[in-house]
Amino acid sequence: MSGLPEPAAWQVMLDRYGAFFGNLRSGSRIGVARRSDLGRGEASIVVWEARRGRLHAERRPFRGYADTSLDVMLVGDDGAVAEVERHLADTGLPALKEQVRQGGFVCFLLRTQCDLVEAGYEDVLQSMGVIFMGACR
Amino acid sequence: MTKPGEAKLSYLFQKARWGRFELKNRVKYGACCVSNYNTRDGHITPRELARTKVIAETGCGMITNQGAYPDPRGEGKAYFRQVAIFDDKFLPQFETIARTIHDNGGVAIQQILHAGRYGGIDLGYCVQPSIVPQTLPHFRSPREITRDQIRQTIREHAEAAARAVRAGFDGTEVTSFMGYLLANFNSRFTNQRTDEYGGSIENRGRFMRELIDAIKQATPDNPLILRLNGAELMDRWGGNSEDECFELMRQAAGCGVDMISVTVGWQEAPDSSIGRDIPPGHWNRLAARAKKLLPEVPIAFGVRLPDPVMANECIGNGEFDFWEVCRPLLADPQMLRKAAEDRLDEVRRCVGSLNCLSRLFRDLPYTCTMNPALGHEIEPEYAITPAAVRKRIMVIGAGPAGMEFAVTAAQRGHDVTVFEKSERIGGMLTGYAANDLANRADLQSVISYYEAMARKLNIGLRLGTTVDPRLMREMLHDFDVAVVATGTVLHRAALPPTEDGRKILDGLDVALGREAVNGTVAVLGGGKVGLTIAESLASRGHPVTIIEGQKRLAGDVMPSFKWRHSAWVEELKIASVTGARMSKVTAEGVHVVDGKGEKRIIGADTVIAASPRISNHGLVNEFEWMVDELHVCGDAVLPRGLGPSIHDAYRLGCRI
Ligand SMILES: Cc1cc2nc3c(=O)[nH]c(=O)nc-3n(C[C@H](O)[C@H](O)[C@H](O)COP(=O)(O)O)c2cc1C
Ligand code: SF4
Repeated sequence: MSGLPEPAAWQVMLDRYGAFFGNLRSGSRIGVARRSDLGRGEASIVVWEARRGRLHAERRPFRGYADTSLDVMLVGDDGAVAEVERHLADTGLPALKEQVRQGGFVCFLLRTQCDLVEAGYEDVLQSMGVIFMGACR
Repeated sequence: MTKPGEAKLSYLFQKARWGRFELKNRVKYGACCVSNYNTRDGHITPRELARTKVIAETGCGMITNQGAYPDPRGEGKAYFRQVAIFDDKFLPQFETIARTIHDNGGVAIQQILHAGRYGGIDLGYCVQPSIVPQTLPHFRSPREITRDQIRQTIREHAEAAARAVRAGFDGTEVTSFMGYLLANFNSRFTNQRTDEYGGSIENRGRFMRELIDAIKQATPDNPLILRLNGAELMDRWGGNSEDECFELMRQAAGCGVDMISVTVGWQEAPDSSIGRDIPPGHWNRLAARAKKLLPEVPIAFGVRLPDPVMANECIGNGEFDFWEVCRPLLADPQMLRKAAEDRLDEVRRCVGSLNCLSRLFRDLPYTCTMNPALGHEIEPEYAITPAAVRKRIMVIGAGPAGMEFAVTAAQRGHDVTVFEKSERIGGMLTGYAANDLANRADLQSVISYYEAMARKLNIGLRLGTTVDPRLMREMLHDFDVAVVATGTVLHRAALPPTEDGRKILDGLDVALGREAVNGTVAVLGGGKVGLTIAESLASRGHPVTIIEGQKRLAGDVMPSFKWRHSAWVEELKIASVTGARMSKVTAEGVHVVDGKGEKRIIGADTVIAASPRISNHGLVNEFEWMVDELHVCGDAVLPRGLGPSIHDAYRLGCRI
């Protein structure tokens, strides 16, 4: 049994902060996972998929980073996932952003910079603390 | 004869023995010079050679030349115009560099930089121990390096080292700084291999140990330095803990490495390592730990340690053996000479802006906010040469542009007087320095530098003096040249109309403490000025909302610092409305239509306009017939901020 919150719990957050993700092109997909699950044989993750301006959360098997269906993957340590879970019903997004900033979640980018910009990720990632146009701080 | 500063900083300026070499002092010029000045295929250019001459003349006992990539495929290549060392065809320019360093009494070290995860810049991929996707969009998608490729890569490093020695370098250095290939093997984050190169720390260190062996065999008479992380700052992402970093240093020492340079952080690490928000000296403890662990191995260190006095103390306390300096010598290549002559107040300090690195990641040649000549060493137009005609020059405005111009022109022999309507120099920078949450001392140091130089160069300062046509008429023929450096003013005409007796305060007045702020605040403009004011007020307990017309905040902020403002905005719970159009300011607050077209009223006891600011060059037209030469510089031409203002003013100062 994975300690990753179920899709329904993520859906509450995605709907509450719909505007934040509103610019993502239909078909964009963000995966969310617990690092401790990924080492296991049959890991499952939650995928948020953009369809007509709304993100839908679903559980899917994890087929490795080479799985080309994902654009971005958020991988959290157990503590960070638990912390975000506590806030999913109300302030889930700020809690997630804070965890990304503090390093509790890694934000892996599985597409090139141009593809991400075209799919509407620039604002979303920048606001998560990803240094979109540079490196080194 | 010992110079006064050398006596004061006696540890720093002490001679040091390193194997068969005697170093004239304990300062190592760090490989802070990936410049993007070279050709796309890795050849060193005359521009680079001119820059290298300045580096060689810094007076450091040891000089590390910039990291060159060692493989013909370009997998190790991290930067757009990085130098290469995979073939003898590159040798002639390396020979020139080694000779230039020796001519200036330095020990010459060539760095080999295989960027691993951050490499393959011209390819569609990079190589790493395991496939771990990127977290920064700038970099290429990963491929796992095979065992054969590992052996080949090690061979290429050894050949590169031998080539550097043939070119005349005394020794070589391999860098794992900021997450390059060596760091990728060492780290649990990027090394998830199940063969003999992955898994345990012993296995992860195997690549490093084989690399040291191969280079030592290829260059048995020449020392090898390794740059290794004291902290990766990647531990929360599954990278190495600090203890593991030190265990890896122990492994390197066990293989006979001749010096360890302790570095901090990876490019992508979630925490800052070298930015302005890190206080100077913050990481010194890592060097001290390395020295304690490996007392027999020379330790070099300098990350975010810009102060020679602090470095001298650290060496005196036995925390490390060599001060490894990078950005402080970009900002002022004369720093060491000034320190030796006890003229530290004349040092132009690095303000940690990271303009240099940010440009590298845009594939541009690096430049320095504080040192306008950097990168232009080959151009005589950027040199300070005696003026053919000594002119009497008045400068109007004592902000960075006015002062930079004044200092440059005075150094050329002109007679300069600066007029400033307020009671102090610094202009808008004074406001920034007073409100900046990252590091006020850094920005304040710019102002202190100009004060010191004004004293030294006998620049006249007429503070509290407003220059207008009347005063100008009184001074007719007193000056040959007038330079208008009056910065910017708030563009009040572009602000929303006010009702109910509401007042919109000028952000600059607030930043300088000339206007009081109470209660809840609305800041109009979410660029760097607005953000700085908003953050400062929020940190003092004011509830703040930023209203910005653009889609995003921080539009004019350095790419590598945007995240810092986003983090402060979140942490200080600053609200923001972006894509906003403002219609009026009333007793209720600021009336806006937000990015989604919804009408809102942002309640505020105080309304502050940080922008738009426009160039304040009204005096130019008025003075047209009053003085022989009339110039404008800095933000008074076009508001672009600190770096461009300083550069613009310097160029004008060089040619007037
Ligand atoms: C423009 C620039 C170029 C750099 N190039 C290299 C390099 O080629 N190899 C390397 O190991 N580190 C490189 N560095 C890192 C520096 O050597 C140094 O470790 C870092 O800037 C921190 O030290 P500082 O606070 O004295 O600048 C570079 C840094 C800068 C700012
Ligand atoms: S650009 Fe900024 S960080 Fe880089 S050396 Fe100059 S002042 Fe320092």
